Amino acid sequence: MPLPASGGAALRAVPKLVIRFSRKGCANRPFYHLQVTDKMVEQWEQCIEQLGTYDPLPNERNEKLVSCNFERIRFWLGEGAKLSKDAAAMLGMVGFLPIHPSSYIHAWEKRRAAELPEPPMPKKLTWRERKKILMQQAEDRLKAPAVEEELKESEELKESSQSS
Amino acid sequence: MLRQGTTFLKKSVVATGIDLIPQQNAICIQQARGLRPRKPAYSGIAKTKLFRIPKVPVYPPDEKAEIVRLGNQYRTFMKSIRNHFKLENQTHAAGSAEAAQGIEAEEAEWQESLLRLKQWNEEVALKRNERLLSEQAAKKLEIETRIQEEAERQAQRLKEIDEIIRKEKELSKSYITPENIDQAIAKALDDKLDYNYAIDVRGNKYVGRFVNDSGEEELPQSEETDETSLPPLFQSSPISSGASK
Repeated sequence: MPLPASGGAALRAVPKLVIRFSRKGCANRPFYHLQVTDKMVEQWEQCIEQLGTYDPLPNERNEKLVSCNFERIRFWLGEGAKLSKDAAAMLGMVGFLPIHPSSYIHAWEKRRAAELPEPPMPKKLTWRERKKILMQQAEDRLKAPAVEEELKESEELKESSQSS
Repeated sequence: MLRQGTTFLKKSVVATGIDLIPQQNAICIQQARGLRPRKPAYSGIAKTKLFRIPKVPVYPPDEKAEIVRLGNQYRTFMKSIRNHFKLENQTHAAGSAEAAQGIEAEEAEWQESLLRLKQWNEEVALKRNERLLSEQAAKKLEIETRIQEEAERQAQRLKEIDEIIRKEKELSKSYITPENIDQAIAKALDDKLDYNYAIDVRGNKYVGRFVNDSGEEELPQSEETDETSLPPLFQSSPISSGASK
């Protein structure tokens, strides 16, 4: 059954147009389509038009690839389409629109984190290591001599049994 | 896809072309992967999140002022950009000077194409007329032959019907009609048939006993067949020829 890649949804009488990302790809492999849709429609449903793509996983050259159809984005913005925050930030980074404030905030946070002295990161244990440690602890507990209180208790028990 | 539930399947019906809304037109089935369906609104806030206080980012005052400034600037920019794009769309719709030039060229091309189309139509019309005439003649001939065939068929049919009538007329002489019904009944009553007879190996017929009206026994004359007409098995041998009588 031949399916269109994206786009082609009919416009409603009074659509709330929005330019936003829609998650394509599959589990553990995100891939986004930049598309203009009706705001009230779910992201997996058919969009009005696809305007671009965004691959958030960096490739072997450490690039996150983006493609945009600027001509159509101009058209839809002129038609009154709203921009989602992420889409606006992306278009700002691309250089099509002014840079979104959220990008600045994000950058400040990153810079602040980079300027801080690096804290000694505790090594995150794998489940195998954790299991090994737990087993060791359990063995130690078995091998260790009984605590004095426990010894006392056992003696008392013995005495009581003898007296009776 | 299955995780979308039944609603997804219902919505992904192939477009009918009538009163389309985006949901009805949705046929990108295999594109929706790894998407969890949205919780319905009536399910309310989860128990664990009822008394959750959202964490509000706290910025130092100078940074906050900067963020506000950036936001105001961004909104102003965006407003003007949007207006620009809107204007662009409007001018494009109305048609600029370049567009007008394009329209003229297009108009000329259109006229030329119309002229060519006219010539082509004439050429085709000649051929078509020839073809139509020949087709008409063929059709006429076909119709005539078919009429003739039909007439012949009808004549043949009449002939057959006449034959049937003639035979029926011949047969009707022996029919029982209201005029001669009494005679027929009388004849049937007089003509008594008795099937109470026996036949021997040679085909001789032995009729059963008959009683007269007066009560006397009367043997009717039994028929005799000519032996030579019988098959050889049934013909009487010279030894027992006398015994048959």
